[in-house]
Amino acid sequence: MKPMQVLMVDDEEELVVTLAERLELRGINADWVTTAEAACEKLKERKYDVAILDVKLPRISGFDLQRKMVQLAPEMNFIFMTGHGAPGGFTGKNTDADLYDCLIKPVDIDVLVAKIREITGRSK
Amino acid sequence: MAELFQTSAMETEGLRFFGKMSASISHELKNTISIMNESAGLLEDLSAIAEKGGTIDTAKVKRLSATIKQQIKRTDDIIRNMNRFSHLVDESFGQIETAAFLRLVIEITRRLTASAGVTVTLEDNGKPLHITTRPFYLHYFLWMLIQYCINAAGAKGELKLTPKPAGNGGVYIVFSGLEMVPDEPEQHFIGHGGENLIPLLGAKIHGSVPEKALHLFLPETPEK
Repeated sequence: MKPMQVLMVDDEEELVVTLAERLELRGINADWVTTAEAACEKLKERKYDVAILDVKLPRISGFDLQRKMVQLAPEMNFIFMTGHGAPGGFTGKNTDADLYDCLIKPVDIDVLVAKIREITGRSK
Repeated sequence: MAELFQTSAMETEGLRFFGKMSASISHELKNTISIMNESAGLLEDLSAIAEKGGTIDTAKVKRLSATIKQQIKRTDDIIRNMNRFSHLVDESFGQIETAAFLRLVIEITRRLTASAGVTVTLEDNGKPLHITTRPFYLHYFLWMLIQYCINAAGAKGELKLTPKPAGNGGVYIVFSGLEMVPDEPEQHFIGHGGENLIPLLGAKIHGSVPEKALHLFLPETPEK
């Protein structure tokens, strides 16, 4: 079976570089970019199973980027990472962060890998 | 605290500003510890590979160690700035050195301005410019002005702040790199908290079309 293809988008380059390397060691092919524009370009080049997006990116939220990426890759799955709880997190209101399953930084690599496998329905 | 805030409306606004800055700082700290977490995790992964008979890439180990050290330094800088920012509420009145104060404002708001795609820089000629002011309110008002320059005045790419001496011991802070300069920039702040802050700081704002800049005047000492 073809290894899983993951695209990570976060403006902290050292974070995505290292995280990509750790995913590769776990049998997941991981590309990374640091801007929303580069993420959309990547989708024109190849197909990914999962995109992992930081909630706060320069000039755009991860949720807005997801809406753009869905247009380019409707079948792709999404995981969000955030540094903190979003507004509404204490109120029970349906914010974007509540609606999507966000992983809180720092992320446990085992939790991230399990999440990738869960949403793709693939064990490898 | 009661002495610092002049009205309950200002107390609410001031707390909102303090909360926004605190949230931004906590976000930046989360990023540094995330990088350290992944770097340490990768070192752990490499050790596990070596224990199973694999070879260790020493260049990679060195790179990861250097990354962790850099992030510790970055975290230390963030915490030092956070501490200085928190102490702004200690005294309602105090002396500041303008360039040093602007440097703190730029550092504290860096994450927020970067999110807007703008780099805020300081042009400091090295000559100290001291004024007595209300430091917490000044920080708040400078943040309002930076937001104004980015959102309303079209600053893109780089917004430059330059402190300059003014007459009678006051200072000018020049905000340059704007796309458009309105005729009466002070009016923008009326109704958004600026109507209280401007008189408290003794501030005056005017636009310079040839320079594509805003000039903020601050007196040597505002009226108490």
